[in-house]
Amino acid sequence: MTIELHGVAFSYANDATKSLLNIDHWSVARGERVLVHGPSGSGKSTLLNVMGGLLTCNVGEVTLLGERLDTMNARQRDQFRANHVGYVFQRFNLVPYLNAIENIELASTFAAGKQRSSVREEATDLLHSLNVIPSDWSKPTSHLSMGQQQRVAIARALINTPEILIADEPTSSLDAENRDNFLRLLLGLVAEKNTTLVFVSHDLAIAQYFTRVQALSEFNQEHC
Amino acid sequence: MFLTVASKSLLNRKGSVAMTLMAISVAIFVLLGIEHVRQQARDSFASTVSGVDLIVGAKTGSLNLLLYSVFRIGSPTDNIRWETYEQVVADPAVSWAIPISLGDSHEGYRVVGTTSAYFDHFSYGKKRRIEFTNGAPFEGTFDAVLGSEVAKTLGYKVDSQIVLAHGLATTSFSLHDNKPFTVVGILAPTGTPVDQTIHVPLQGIDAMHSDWPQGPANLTIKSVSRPAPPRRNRRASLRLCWA
Ligand SMILES: Nc1ncnc2c1ncn2[C@@H]1O[C@H](COP(=O)(O)OP(=O)(O)O)[C@@H](O)[C@H]1O
Ligand SMILES: [Mg+2]
Repeated sequence: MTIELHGVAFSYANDATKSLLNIDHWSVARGERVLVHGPSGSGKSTLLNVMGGLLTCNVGEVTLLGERLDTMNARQRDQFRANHVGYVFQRFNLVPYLNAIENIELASTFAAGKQRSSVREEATDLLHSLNVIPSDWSKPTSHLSMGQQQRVAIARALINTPEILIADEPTSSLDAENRDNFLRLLLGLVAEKNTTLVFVSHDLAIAQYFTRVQALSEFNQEHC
Repeated sequence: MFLTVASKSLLNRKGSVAMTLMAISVAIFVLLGIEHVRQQARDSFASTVSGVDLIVGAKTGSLNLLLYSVFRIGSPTDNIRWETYEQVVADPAVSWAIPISLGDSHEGYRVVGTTSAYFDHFSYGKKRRIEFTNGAPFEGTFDAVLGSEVAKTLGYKVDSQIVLAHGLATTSFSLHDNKPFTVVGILAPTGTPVDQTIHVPLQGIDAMHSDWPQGPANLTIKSVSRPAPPRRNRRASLRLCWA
């Protein structure tokens, strides 16, 4: 299993009485493309943060690629994430004053064992295949449209050829046509590299692109 | 890569970076300025008087004592009694002492009543003794020795007659004009407050005020100096400037 959650419970420190996540068992196999859906505020982003090691669960085991994330310290988790996990945030979190290429290169400097010279080539390849036109490559990302920023964010997540790609509602700010274009591109890239994809959205209209579709409430019991 | 990120990040916040730089430079400037002033004050003090271990005066702040006794700034708050002075001078740890009596002036220049110990022991800068360009230390009760600036500005020579005034104002209403002093010596320039000082014997100050019903109102600093015994333990021998 690429991703395995066992007996995971999580609550935010400022709201400790409400256990937001309570997952007995949930796993994703290698190469699966999973869509997790649920209404906003149901804890989808929180689930991804726990899965990606940005948040640590109160109890339980989080295993990625056979390694226990919950027993690592913060530094080890960061290094593991840089090497093995691509993350597309709900708000992209690009560095606003760097251009697209620099944002992608920055991500690659955190991953181990990459040849510096090949990075730029791979970055331009990725931007090409995501239909970002070359004149947008050297603009600060704060000057790009939402749709363009989103593609740069995907390219950044994929530059280190991660085994796992985590995407947090990246299509929520797109119209239907752009959304479908984007998903076709993304899933094409993911299929090509046999990347395991966990994608969350409140939007069930995109279910056709995924190999597994699950509601968060199917495997998560919210306790109060 | 990180250099690029850092420089672009700074460029992206030019405004606040400039403000921060400005604040830091002002802070450094102030810091260096204060350090400079402190150093200057220390140098100035060190060059104004040297070889003195202790300044003794009537109860007052130590800064005030230093200012009026060494720099001739401000006025003494109170006098100490002659007996107290003699008592301290008699202490075996004291090798010499110079009494200083302040409170009179001449044309705005301060008058210091002292003894010949002043000319024997007072030194400034790197242990430099005060020297005479003309004349010699006072001997008679109404003899006066002028600092170089006093003599130059007021055009006095040896044998000039001067009348001292009570208090420190340039135009004093209480002149001691019945008791004029005769200039017997003029000191070489020192670059210290000594240049702006008129030195007279303690007895002169007493005699001058003898016709005052209430006695010497401002007799402030008295000093007596004893010659330093030869080869005395440095630790044990205090050189006193007695205020
Ligand atoms: N940093 C945080 N601190 C405290 N509570 C949070 C924090 N982030 C999210 N929450 C709360 O957790 C719940 C789930 O949030 P989230 O995981 O972002 O939901 P979703 O992504 O499904 O919209 C919400 O009620 C939200 O208010
Ligand atoms: Mg969310």
